[in-house]
Amino acid sequence: MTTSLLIVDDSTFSRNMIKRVLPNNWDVDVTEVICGEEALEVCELKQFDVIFLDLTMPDIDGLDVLLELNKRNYNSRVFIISADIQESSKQIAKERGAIDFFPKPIKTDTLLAMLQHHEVV
Amino acid sequence: MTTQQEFTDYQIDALKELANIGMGRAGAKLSEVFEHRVTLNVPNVAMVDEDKLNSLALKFETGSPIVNIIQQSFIGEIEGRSAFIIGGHNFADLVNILGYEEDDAIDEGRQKEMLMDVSNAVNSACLSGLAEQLELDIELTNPSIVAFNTPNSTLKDFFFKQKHQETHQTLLFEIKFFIKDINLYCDNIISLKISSLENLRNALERLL
Repeated sequence: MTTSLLIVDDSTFSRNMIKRVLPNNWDVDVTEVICGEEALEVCELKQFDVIFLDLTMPDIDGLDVLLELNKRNYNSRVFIISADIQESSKQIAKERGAIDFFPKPIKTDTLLAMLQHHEVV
Repeated sequence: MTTQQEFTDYQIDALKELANIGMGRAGAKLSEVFEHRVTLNVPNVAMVDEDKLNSLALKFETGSPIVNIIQQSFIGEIEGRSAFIIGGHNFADLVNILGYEEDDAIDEGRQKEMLMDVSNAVNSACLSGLAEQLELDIELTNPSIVAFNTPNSTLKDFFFKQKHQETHQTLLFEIKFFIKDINLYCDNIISLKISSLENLRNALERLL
């Protein structure tokens, strides 16, 4: 079954790096957005199975996106992929429903292990 | 070869992201040192005239009239320098936050040492994000304080008095930190020498 994946990151380079390390055997349909506001807009229109969410973004940051998704009772498996590696950021993200947190730059093996651990692939 | 066209939009985007990784590490370090959450913003990366560096310093928002500037160079496969600006807080309080003894707070030598320690930690973290990803070897030189407990209004007299000799253009990385709980502002302004841009561009091409 195809997994719908939303990648939320303001950097094209970063989104490309994430796509580059997706597991080869993962049947996935990728949607990309470049900011928190766009993420909330597409989530209005579509139910994504998995979201890869950046934290530091120019408009609505990732932590606020999580807050808004919670308000909407949006049911998706959200993984944080961020350069903001403060313990407080990890803690807030988990409190707001993120399943796991991965520091950038993310590597193929790390991503695969994370997805397998959470039985996404 | 004097414009931002030396780098494509995608290359600048990649450099921002690499700076973002360094900023994240530096933010975590600051958070650890001050024991408070650090607010991070998307870094600014651009080719600018070196005069712009002075204007950035003058725009530094402190909420306090007193600031400190610590300058540090890096050498190796890419070279340049950084100015770490810290302000927005009474320095004696800052010393207490950092957990030093009360006697240290009035010792100017110890105060400067503390500032250089913080600057060194932030610069190491910021530059590591760039250098590690690009597989470039760089080394930080010892930091030096160019403005100590200085009135904000006189910053222009201290900041980057000496331009890089060969050009007026520089690649700028501007990284901002804010610790809301203790009203502490830090800017890390990193500028690369034009002579380093070819190495940087080649390393970027390998990564992309």
